Amino acid sequence: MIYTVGISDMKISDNASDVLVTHSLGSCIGLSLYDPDIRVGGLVHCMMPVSKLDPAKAAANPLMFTDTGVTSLLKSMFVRGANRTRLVVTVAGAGSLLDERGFFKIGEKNYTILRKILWKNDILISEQDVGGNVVRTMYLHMDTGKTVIRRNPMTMNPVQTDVGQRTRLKEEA
Amino acid sequence: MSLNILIVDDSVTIRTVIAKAIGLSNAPVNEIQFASNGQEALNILNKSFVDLVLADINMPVMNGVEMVERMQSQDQLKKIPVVVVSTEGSSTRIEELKAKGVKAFIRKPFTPESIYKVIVEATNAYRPETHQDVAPQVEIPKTESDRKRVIGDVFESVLQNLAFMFVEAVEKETLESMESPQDLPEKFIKASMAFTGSIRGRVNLMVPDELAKELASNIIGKEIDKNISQRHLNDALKEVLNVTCGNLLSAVVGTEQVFDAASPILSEHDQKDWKAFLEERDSIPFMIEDWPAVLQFLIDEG
Repeated sequence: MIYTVGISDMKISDNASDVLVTHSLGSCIGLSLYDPDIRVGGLVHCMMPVSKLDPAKAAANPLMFTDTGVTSLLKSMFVRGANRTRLVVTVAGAGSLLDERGFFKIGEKNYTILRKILWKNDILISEQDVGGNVVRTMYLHMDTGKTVIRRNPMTMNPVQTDVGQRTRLKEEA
Repeated sequence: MSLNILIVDDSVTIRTVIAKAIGLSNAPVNEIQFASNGQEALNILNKSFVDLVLADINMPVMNGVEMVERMQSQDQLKKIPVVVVSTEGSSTRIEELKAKGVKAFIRKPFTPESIYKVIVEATNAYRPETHQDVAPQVEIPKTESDRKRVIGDVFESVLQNLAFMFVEAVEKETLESMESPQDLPEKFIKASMAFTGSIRGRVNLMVPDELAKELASNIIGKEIDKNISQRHLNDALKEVLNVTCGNLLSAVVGTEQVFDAASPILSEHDQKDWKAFLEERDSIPFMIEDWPAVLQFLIDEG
C-alpha cells in the first residue's frame, strides 16, 4: 500500500508491500531511514528548522520542526528495534526558494539542523539530493529499502506548485 | 583490505572529528593512530605500517608541507597516500602539494561523509583521481562595506558547516545594549591567531565561555558535560578561529596567495574587557544564535 507522509508528518513501516511517499519538498527536509536487517523503514517531512521558534506549535506537532521531527523519527525507529549503525539514511529537500521564506534560508537551516542531530546521534548520511531551486518527491520502497527522489522544476508560486504536485500524484495513483 | 590510518593534526578536536567520521562510515579500518605534528607523524610512519595519512598543513614543530617532502625522500614512505585536510584554500599551495604526491584535499570545514569518500578514492589504486578542493573563487572585496559583508558571509558559512550554528551580523548597538547582568554573560574567551604571507595580520574572536562549550559540543557531536574535557572546550574555539582565518584569507585576499598561520592562542576575559574589545575600531559584531560574538580581521600596515 502507498502511504503518503504529509507536511509535518511521519510514517513507519515494516511491511514489504508498502511504499512511503512524501511530496512537495521545497525548503522542507525529507529524511528516510531504513534498517535492512529488520526491514523497518521510516519517512519524515519537516518544515521549519528549530522548535524554539514556536514552542506551542512544537508541542502540538513536533514533526513540524526539523530538530524535534528528526528526533521523533529516530526514537520511533529505535523503539521498533532499528540499530543506528545499520541505518541507511537518505535526505531530500532543503531547497532555496525564491519566496519570502527563502530569504531567511529556511532550506539551508533545515539541512544544518538535520546534520547536527545526525552527527550527535553518531549517524552519517548515505545519500542525499538537497538544495537548489527544485521541488522534490521522495519514495521509500519497503520491498528493497531503496529511496527514490524525483525532482520537479520550481515555480515562483509555491502554493500552485503544491497543488499541482498533489494533483499529479493522484493521477499516478 | 583493512586500513591503518594516521591522522596528523595539532587540534585534538579535528583528530576526534576525523576519527569519529571514519568510525561511523563502515570503512574497513584496522587501526587509527594520531600525531599532532609532522615530526610525530614521521616517527610513527617509520615504525609501523600505515596505509593512508590524513594531514593538516599548519602545525607547530613540523608542518604538513615539510612532512610530505620528508616522506617523498624515503623510499618506504613515498608510496603511502597522503590526503591533506586543511583550511588551505590557496591554489598555488595545492598545486605545489599535488606535485609532491598529495592524493587529495579536503577543505575545512568538511562534512564527515566527505572524509569517507576521499578515503575510498585515495586508497583505490584503479581510480587515482585527485579530488581537488580549492576555495571557491570569489570577487575580492574592494570597499570597506564589501569587505565587512564578505567577512560576515565567511564567518556565517564556517559556523554553520563546522558547528551547525547560525550567525547573524548585527549593529554594535545591539551588543552594547546587552548590559544588564542577566543579558550579558560574565566570562569571555578570546582566541587570537597571526598569519604571514603576502600580507601579515591577525584574526581575533571573542565569545562568551558558554558559547565555547556549545561550539565544542556541536563540533565533536557530543552533549555538553558528557565526555567533553576542558581541553576539548578550548581546542574547539581555536579550531573555529583557525578555519575562519583560512577561509577569510581565501575570500578577502584571494586563492593565489600562500599564507602560514601560527597556532591560535586563548585568553580569559571579563565583561569590562568585552566592552573595550567591542568598542575597538575593527570589531565586527555578530549574534551566534543567543550569544554575542566579536570578530576582528586585522591587516598590518606597511
